[in-house]
Order: sequence, then C-alpha cells, then structure tokens
Amino acid sequence: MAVPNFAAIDIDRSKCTIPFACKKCLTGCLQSVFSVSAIKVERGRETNPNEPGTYALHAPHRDKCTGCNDCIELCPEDAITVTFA
Amino acid sequence: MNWVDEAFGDPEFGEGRWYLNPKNHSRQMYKVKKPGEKPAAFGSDPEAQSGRKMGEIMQKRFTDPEEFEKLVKEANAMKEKSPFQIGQVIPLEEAKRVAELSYPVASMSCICRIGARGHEERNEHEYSCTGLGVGMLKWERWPERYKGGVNFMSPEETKEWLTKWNKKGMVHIIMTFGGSYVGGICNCDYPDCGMIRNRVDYGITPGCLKSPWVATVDFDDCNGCGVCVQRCQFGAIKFEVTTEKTNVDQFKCFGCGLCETACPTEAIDLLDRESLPALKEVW
Amino acid sequence: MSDIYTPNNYSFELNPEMMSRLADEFDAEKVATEFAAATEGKSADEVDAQGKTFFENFGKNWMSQTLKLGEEYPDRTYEVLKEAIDKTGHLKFALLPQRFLEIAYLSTQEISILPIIENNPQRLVYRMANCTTFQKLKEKCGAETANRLPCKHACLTACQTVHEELDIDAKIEMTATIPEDGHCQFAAQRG
Repeated sequence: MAVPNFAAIDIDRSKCTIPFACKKCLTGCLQSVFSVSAIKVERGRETNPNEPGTYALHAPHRDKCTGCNDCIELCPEDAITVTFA
Repeated sequence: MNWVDEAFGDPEFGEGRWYLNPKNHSRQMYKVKKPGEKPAAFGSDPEAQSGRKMGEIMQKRFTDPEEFEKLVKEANAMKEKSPFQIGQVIPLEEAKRVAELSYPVASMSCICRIGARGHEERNEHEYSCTGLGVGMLKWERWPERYKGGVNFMSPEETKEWLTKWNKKGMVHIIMTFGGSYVGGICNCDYPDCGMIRNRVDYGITPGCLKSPWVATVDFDDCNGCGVCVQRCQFGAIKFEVTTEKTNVDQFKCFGCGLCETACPTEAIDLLDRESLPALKEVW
Repeated sequence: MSDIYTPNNYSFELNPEMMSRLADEFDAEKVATEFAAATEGKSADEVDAQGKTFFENFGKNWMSQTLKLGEEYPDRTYEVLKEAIDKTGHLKFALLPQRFLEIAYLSTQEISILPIIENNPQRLVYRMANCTTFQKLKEKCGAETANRLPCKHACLTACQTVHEELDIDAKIEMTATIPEDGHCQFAAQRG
C-alpha cells in the first residue's frame, strides 16, 4: 500500500510563537487538523501562553485536511504552508 | 460482559458494570518514597505515557499505513494488558451513580479541548471535565494539566453538573488512569475529544468502548422532531424522510443516551446491550 | 492562586520528621519484646486476655499520637483536603480517617503504600499484608501466639479511635486475617 496523498502542513515556528494565545487556526479549521501543546512545562507553575516559544502548534490530523486553505488565510503571521504532492 | 468487566468487574455491583465496582475507585493518598527517590517528573503518569504511545502509533499513518493498521489491531486486541487508558461511554444515570462512589470529585478544564481547539476553561462555570479520587488533592503539582484550578463538588453538585453538560450535548466517558483505577468522567464531543476521534476516525477502541446500553426508538411515540439527530456524536441517528421518524443504527450506537435524555416525547429508550444477540459482543 | 506563573513550593508528601518520630515511638520490635516479656509462661487464654488489654492500649496511643503529629506536621495534600471538605460539606468520611490511618501504618510498617480497597461516602476498607508487627510477634512469642493475632486489637482500636476522635459515626470490622487470608483487612462502615 502506497502512502496516501495526505497534505503536508509546514508550520514555521519562528513565526508561529504564541499559538495557544492566538489559536486562530485551531478554532477555524473545519476538520480540526491542528493541536497545541506546552513544550515548556515546569512542576508547580502554569505555562504562560503569551510567552513566545512556550507552546507549539502541530498538525496531527493532516490526513483529514481537505486543502481548503482557510488556515493560511486565518494565520496572522503567514506561518502555515499546505502542499499536496 | 466486555473484557474490562472480565478483568475488573464484580457482579455484586452490577453485571457488566465494572465502573460501579468501588474497588476501581479507591486509592491511597500517600506513597512513602525511598531515600533519594525524586518526585515523579511531568509526563511520567499513565495518562501521558498512554498518550505518547498512542502518538507513536498515529505517526505511522503518514510513514507506514500498513504498519499503522497492524498496530491498531494489536492495541485493540491487548485488552486489559493494553498500555492505553481505558475509556467507556456511559449514560447520564450511571455517571450519576459514579458520583456517589468516587471521593473526591472535582471539575476541571478539559485537556483535549485545550489541545484541539485552544479552548480555555478558566473557572467552575467553564470547566467541562471531572477528575475523580484522591489524586485530585494534589492537582497543584501540575497546574499546566488543570489550567488554573479545580472545583471540588459534593455528590449532589456533581450530579447537577453532569446533567448540565448532558443538556449541552456532551457524551460521558469514564476514564481510567493506570490499571482499572477510575480517575475521571470526561464530557466529550467530536472532533475535539481525542478518545472519540481515535475511535470514530481510526478504529482505536480501548479509549472509547461502547456503553452496555443501546438506543431504540418507539415509532408510535416519535413525532419526528429531529432533536435527537443533533445530539448524536457518533453519526448513529438520522432523520428518515419517508417515514418522518428518527432512525437509530444500533450498530453505530455507542449507548450514551444523549438522544434519550433530549427526546420530548420519550420515544427513545436504552436497551441492555446483552439483550441484543448481534450486539452483545460489540463494544 | 495569586500568580499562576510563579512556581509553588508545596510538599504533598508526609513530613519525614513526623514519620521517624512515630516510627521510634511505636517500633514493632519494641512492642513485640514487651509483649513477650509480659506473657512469658502464660496460658493461651491468659495471653488472649492480656493481648486484648495490651494491644488496645497500644492502638489507642498509636492513633492518638498519629492524630496529634498529623496536625502538627501538615502537608499540602492535607491542606487541600481540608479546603475541599469546607467547600463541599462532604469528604470527611472516608478521607480524613484515611489520611491518619495511612500515616499510622506508613510510619510503623515497611510498606510504601497502604492498600486502600474502598474509600467512598459509605465505606473505608484497607489491607495489611506483610505486617512487621505480626512478624516480630512470631519471632518473639512464637508462631502459635502470633497466629492468635493479639495485635488485631491494636489495629481495631486505632481504627475505632480515629473515627471517634474525628467525631465520625462508623462501625469497625475486621474482614480478613493474615493466618487465614494472607492479609488483615479492616472495614469502617458509615453508621
């Protein structure tokens, strides 16, 4: 079985620095392709969503991406690229 | 009876109702550490380990789809030896019975909705998940997990709170955290609940087993209003134009009872899954 | 939480100083030696009668001191429990007695957790398997005396005392014993 033609979604983390505070792609994606997770976690304290680099955006469900490009339009930092082979 | 019951149930507390067995709700408050033993690191808990393992499997969708299919089948077959958290859909009435078995109960923010939608729940009016058991007394170790707070509730408050989320349209899923220890009742919907999504989209069963109930419609009582159609998170209910009635696909039904609690004419009932020969082994 | 981004330094664990104070005061070897001396050469009936008084007395002291030190050395788990009790008007049974029973056993036994079989609004059930007191009684008084479980009066009285002192109405029962079941089990049922 060949690898299906899923969308390749590239997130430029130098541009997408506060995804949890911004969350435009997270709330705007019809297919709920994206997810956000804390990458800087300390015991006994909350991770600040407004501090750059504390959260990272992923596209774990890119197999569900239809290529509508809504996320690209929603992203204020032009950090998202969607390509199909 | 499903495999969770076989491993952790006790007929004394209800046939097929492992989650009503008090043993699965009990845990010690303290652990004495050996000299030099450090407190557990963030991400060393069964929930995080299960999540990481699931993540590794999910990654195979993109690199090796055949391997992915194989790993999913294996994970589903591992049953009580599965490294994954066990979750099972239960209807509101049984979630309320759990509220009397688990001490303490606290509402808290949903970790799935944070991840999938960046959805923040900052106070007791917004919290949509519940943590159960003495582990909740130590929630401050990991505020990141609880996003700023928890709200301890009495059994009566818990029942009202569950009813509120049921009204809004959330499915109750009982979740284990290590073995059969019940650590939460999640209030879930598709697609932001990781457990429902893994089951519905990818066929991964351990985190979202079906309830021991199945919905049925009495066509004589159904007025065809369609309220139940909007409530189903599993795509099991449709409005049948020809008959002008609601129709439940019982093979797709997860037995959450959301349709039943919303039906204005009480046309929907929950049947015991065991009473349906074709469905009694379908979990 | 005033500032959620500043790390808190709470300790959720039992205070080690409290644990060693209880361990010293209620040392199993010391108790077994005292009991052996007091019952040397006595008949089985006499040992039973003396065991009851001796271990009831021990159990009461053991739990009274646990309750006292447990308050003197709070931890964050306990503080949150008390806040949750105030907030909900519930949880006092089974969680308050559970805390003090865990302290009592964890400080005096070679275990890292006390197995809790049930803890809910109706019942508190817990279990002791590799009991140090039982082992020491076996060594000092012989298997026959140990198997008559004079020490059960200590556990039963401790359980009774913790509920009485916390003003909780509960019926205390022993539902399994080491000689018969491989572990002792105690149940407190809400009255």
